[in-house]
Amino acid sequence: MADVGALLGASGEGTMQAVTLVGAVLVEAMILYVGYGALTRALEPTVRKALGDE
Amino acid sequence: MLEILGIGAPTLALFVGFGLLIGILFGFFGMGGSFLVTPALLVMGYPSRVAVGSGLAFVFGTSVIATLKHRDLGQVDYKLGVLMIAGTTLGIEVGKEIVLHLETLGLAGNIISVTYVVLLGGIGVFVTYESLKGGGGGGVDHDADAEVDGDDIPDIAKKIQSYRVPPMISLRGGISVSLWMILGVAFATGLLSGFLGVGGGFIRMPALFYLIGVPVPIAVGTDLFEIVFSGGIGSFLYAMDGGVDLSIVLPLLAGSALGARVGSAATSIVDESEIKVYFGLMLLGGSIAVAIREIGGYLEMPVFDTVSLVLILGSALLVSGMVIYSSIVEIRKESVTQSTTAD
Repeated sequence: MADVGALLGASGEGTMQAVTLVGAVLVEAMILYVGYGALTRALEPTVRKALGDE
Repeated sequence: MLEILGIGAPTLALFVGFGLLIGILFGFFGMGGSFLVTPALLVMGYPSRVAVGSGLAFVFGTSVIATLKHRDLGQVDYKLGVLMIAGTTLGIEVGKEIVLHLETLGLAGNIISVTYVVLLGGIGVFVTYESLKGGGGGGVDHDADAEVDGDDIPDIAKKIQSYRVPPMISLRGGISVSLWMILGVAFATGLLSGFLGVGGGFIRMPALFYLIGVPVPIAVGTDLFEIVFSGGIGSFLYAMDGGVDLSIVLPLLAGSALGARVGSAATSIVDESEIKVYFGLMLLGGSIAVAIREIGGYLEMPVFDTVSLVLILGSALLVSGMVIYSSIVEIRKESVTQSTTAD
């Protein structure tokens, strides 16, 4: 596979660093999506009820 | 003092809270990420490279979450998204070349600032005017799969849809537009995006609605889908030079992920025409803020930077507050209607 970083003019170390950083953001995003999704499903009826009953 | 990720607890709380605010706007309108984060980081004293790189990484993460949420609601048109990416990428390249050419002439800074202020302000005035006028641009159907009512399509979009140059592309919402028109709009928005050095959500989302006639929820979802790619590539390029700081991005993302859920869910509850006027005013606030910052730079008075930031944050707080307020009002109305029906 072609070294994307090299094509863009960066060293192998720079490419690895970029992949790690962007990968960490992506992983956090996926975890948050799933985690908050479960939280929203669990709490949504209660929140809607609380807001509607007020 | 307690430190997490190498930053103090108050800064961490500030980032999470700020992320929540931005997430609501991002989830609801499909824009507002780098436009808000980068200036805030610059005023906090972070170097430009870190402010821009971390801003892009944050936009990437938030757009991944918001796109997944909009996908669940059936509000992403992948075919349109891929076509828009192709046209936008070409536009960005041409925009970047124009900037490089202007730089050699020593005119880049001034022309870019003036264009940014005029464009942001112009779109702000247009959106506010259309919302206050009602009718044409105001009506929005929240059902992504419903056929678009002819009255809901803006006049400019009707004109663009009337050019039936083959091949014609069928889009969600039952509309059909020439491939060349889509690529033309994508190229134009990419050109502006590359020229101004911004993600371009504030240009693309209104362009998808006003120029192509895509229903607003699908325009937002498709715009977010495109930002996943532009934000991902942008943050990768900055990360190679150490421009992405995870101690900024991770807490911002933790807040915005929750905000994006609230904002995306609100698109199915709130009548967008109520909110659109605030969206227009936020863009106007943003254009005035950029103008103030430029004047501050010209006069060498840093206090203008702070005024600019307060104006941006104030506008964002106002609009996200309105999204939450309108959602609560709608939920209460729904609850009253259900109780009445049950009685």
